[in-house]
Amino acid sequence: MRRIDLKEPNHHSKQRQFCTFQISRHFYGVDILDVKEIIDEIAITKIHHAPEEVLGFINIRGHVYLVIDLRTLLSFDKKEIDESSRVLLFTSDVGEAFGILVDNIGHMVEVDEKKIEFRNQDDNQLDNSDKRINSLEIGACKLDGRLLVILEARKFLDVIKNKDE
Amino acid sequence: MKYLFNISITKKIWISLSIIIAAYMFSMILGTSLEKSTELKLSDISNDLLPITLSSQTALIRYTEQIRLYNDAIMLGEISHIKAAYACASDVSNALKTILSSKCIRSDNQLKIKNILTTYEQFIEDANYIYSRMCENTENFESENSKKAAQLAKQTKFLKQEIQSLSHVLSEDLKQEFSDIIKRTQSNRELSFVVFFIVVISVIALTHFIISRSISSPLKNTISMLKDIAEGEGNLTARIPIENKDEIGELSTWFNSFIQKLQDIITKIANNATLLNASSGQLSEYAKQMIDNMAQLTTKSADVSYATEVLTTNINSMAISAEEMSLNINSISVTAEDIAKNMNSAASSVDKMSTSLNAIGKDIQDGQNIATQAMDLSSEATQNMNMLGTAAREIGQVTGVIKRISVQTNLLALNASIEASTAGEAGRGFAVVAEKIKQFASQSTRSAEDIALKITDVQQKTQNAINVIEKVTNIVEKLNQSYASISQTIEKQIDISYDLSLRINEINSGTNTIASSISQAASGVNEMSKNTGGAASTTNEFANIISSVNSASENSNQCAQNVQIQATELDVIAATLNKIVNKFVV
Repeated sequence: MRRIDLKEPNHHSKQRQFCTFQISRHFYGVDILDVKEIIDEIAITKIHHAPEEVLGFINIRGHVYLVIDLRTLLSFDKKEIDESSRVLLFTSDVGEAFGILVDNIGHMVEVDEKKIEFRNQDDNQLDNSDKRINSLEIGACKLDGRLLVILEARKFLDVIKNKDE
Repeated sequence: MKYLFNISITKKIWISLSIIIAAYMFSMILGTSLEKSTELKLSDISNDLLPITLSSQTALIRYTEQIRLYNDAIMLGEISHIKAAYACASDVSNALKTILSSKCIRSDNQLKIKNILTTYEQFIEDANYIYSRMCENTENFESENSKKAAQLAKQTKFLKQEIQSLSHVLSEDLKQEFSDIIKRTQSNRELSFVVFFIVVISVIALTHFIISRSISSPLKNTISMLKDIAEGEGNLTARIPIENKDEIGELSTWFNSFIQKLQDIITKIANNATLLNASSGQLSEYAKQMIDNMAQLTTKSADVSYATEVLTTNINSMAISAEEMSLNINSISVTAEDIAKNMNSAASSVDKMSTSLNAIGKDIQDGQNIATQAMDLSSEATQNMNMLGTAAREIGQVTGVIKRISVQTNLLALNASIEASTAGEAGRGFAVVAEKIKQFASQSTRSAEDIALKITDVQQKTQNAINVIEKVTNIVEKLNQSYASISQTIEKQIDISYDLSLRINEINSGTNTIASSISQAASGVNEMSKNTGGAASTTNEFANIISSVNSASENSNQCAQNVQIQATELDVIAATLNKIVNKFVV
């Protein structure tokens, strides 16, 4: 186990905040500092010949964002967009303007960093699909009987690109 | 030969026995005839040869005695001896004559005897003369008669020889005859033995032939045929060949006809078994149909039974009513006279009743009006309730809006908290505000959900209320109808009471006659009551009968099922029978 070095260390070195959401019945979270905004008006414009993870473009107040289907990326079954579906938009620090489609948005949670168990990134023995998930899931922590899987927002686009190559 | 085979066995046995007896008779006759010839021979001997021989012996002995007597006479010189000699000489001559008279003497012997006889007679005279002279005159004798005596002695010797040879010849003949007889007897015995042997063998052979050809072999044929039929595969087409017309032939004929009949019967049985098989199949089907029909009948009869029970109840109640009526009529009859007395007061009572009825009619009218009002009110209540339902639904929609707003607020609060986090320490206060907003949003969501639940409850209760009001409306409607009918009845009663009051005076006059009529009516009603009771009991009986019909039909159903079972069994039996019958070759 090794601790990952954060580019922007928090002022409270021990406490970290995560924006949580649900895919299927699984509970995921991304660093709140990577999140720009959460939107519920989802009007997606499709891109033809794009990878299957890329759902299309979305127009938010004149800015265009790429929307990635997190279900497809994490190898879940596909699901239609419904009234509880949300899109998380990330800041420009994370990468070029994009967001991810999730089933359900949760709350903002604050976790002591000691409670987080980070994953070993050694993935030589894994196949392609597992490698992808492995590079996305950087760790997990227990929350009131539920397991929160922490995803690295910066890896989403890389994973799609790597797969295309 | 053909005839021999066609006669009966008893006759055959009789023929065999008679053949044996005939053979026995034949041998007996043969033996008897042979013995007869021997006997004849022997009788010849005893009648002729033996007396002749004996005579010749006698002649020889007498002659010898004569000669001796002559010699004695000469020696002693007594004439008496000569006379005795003469007697002997006559004996000899008689014996010789007897021999001569015999038939069986040979001709040469006959001639010889004649010669002897002639010579002997001469000799007797000479000897008599000479010996008597010799006895009387012995001195002269020698000279004169010595020559004659010598001649006489010569003759005597000759005669003696002749007689001796004769007796010898005769005895030889006798011997010869006896030896002949012995020889012949021996040959006869051998012959008869050979003949007997031949006859016995031939009789045995013939009897055996007859018995074996005409009795044993047909019996054996018949037995082998019967065995073939009995042990074979039930081949009934086989027949015993009839060779003869005796008892066995008859037996075979009758057995053949028996087999023929058996074959016919088995053929008929086979045909009938096939028919039976088909029939039992049909029977089974019919039994099934019968069961269906019986089931229908049972349901029908159960229906009838139920109907009859209802009828019985009705009739019973009718009977009870009739009895009550009878009782009432009786009491009426009893009180009719009182009525007659009380008619005046009745008239006033009727008037009172009429007014009371009028009051009741008014009240009923009021009740009807009230009921109509209640119906109107209840329909209004229903409308109001429906409106309440609609309002509740609208409130439900409003809660939906509230829910959506709270969700939006929640999102807004989340975005605000993100912003606050990004702002770092500067956003701390803002983060608290955002948290509060979030709490508020979740509270509104809960409240909205609560309201939604309550609204659903209200809607359900409204629906219940509507249902209750509908029921009330129905009841009120029925009440209204009842009021209407009561009102009508009361109106009629008012009319009737009016009529009643009008006619009471007329009635008053006819009350006495009515009283008597009522007693008659009472008796009539009594009768009716009885009749109704009878009808009730009859109906009861009918009900019992129907129920027994019901049970009978159930039994029949059971029976039909049994019949079906039996038919199935019969089917099996018919199949078995068919199988058994098919074993026979017909």
